[in-house]
Amino acid sequence: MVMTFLLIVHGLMAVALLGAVTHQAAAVWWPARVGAGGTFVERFRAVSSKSYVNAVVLLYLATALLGAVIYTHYTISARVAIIQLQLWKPYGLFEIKEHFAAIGLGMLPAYWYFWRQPGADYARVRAMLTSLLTVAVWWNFLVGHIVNNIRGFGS
Amino acid sequence: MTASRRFGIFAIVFAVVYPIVYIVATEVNLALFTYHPALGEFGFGPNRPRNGPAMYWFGWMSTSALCALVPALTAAYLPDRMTRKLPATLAWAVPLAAMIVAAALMMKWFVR
Repeated sequence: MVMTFLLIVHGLMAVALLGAVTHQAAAVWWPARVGAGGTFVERFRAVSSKSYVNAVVLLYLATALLGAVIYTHYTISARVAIIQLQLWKPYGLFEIKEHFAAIGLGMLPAYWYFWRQPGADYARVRAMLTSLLTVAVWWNFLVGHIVNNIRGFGS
Repeated sequence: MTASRRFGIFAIVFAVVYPIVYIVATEVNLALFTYHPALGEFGFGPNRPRNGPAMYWFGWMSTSALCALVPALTAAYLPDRMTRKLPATLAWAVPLAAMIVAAALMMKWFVR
């Protein structure tokens, strides 16, 4: 029951992180034109990228920390079942999730630093770090759902 | 060198060393510690499983963080002339390469 609650909180934090980092990536790679209209897509791209940095860092750390707690339960319950059922593809997907999450943690100091640098000098570095975090967050979110759905809610 | 510039050097070196050590740590199991979730116990270094699966992931990340911390802190306090040409591109290029390598190493699970 406690783990189910933590899993839901982990999922909600992941949604917030997903939204923040996707907004930022869209604004970096596909900035809205000055004076652009007010369509949903244009507003999605028109956010101030820099304002998301601290939120992304804090949400990434909090989501990873909670994920690490849940991971201990996953290892002795769901993972054992996945191995016994020889579901190697979901197993491999989760292994990649684990590695992406860890590599993402190592990028956070650079991500935070380069977003605090003014001007266009490091625009490409900022864009690439944001993109890598976006890929990691999307992958981890989707794989988390797939693996969770194998055994079903509350099983 | 300003504190901000020092942190920049630290961040670049950390972003470079951490993923390299992480990939090596996962491949040769250089876990700083092992967690045994069924028992709620920790063991120093990579232990064999005890009464259930052993978790090395926390240990791999700790090894990587410690190994990256030392050169990153050292580089941050080197004279400016020695670090001025450190390419910022490495801060994303090496993690990108590490993500590709990590995914490639896991392909074994998709061909079983």
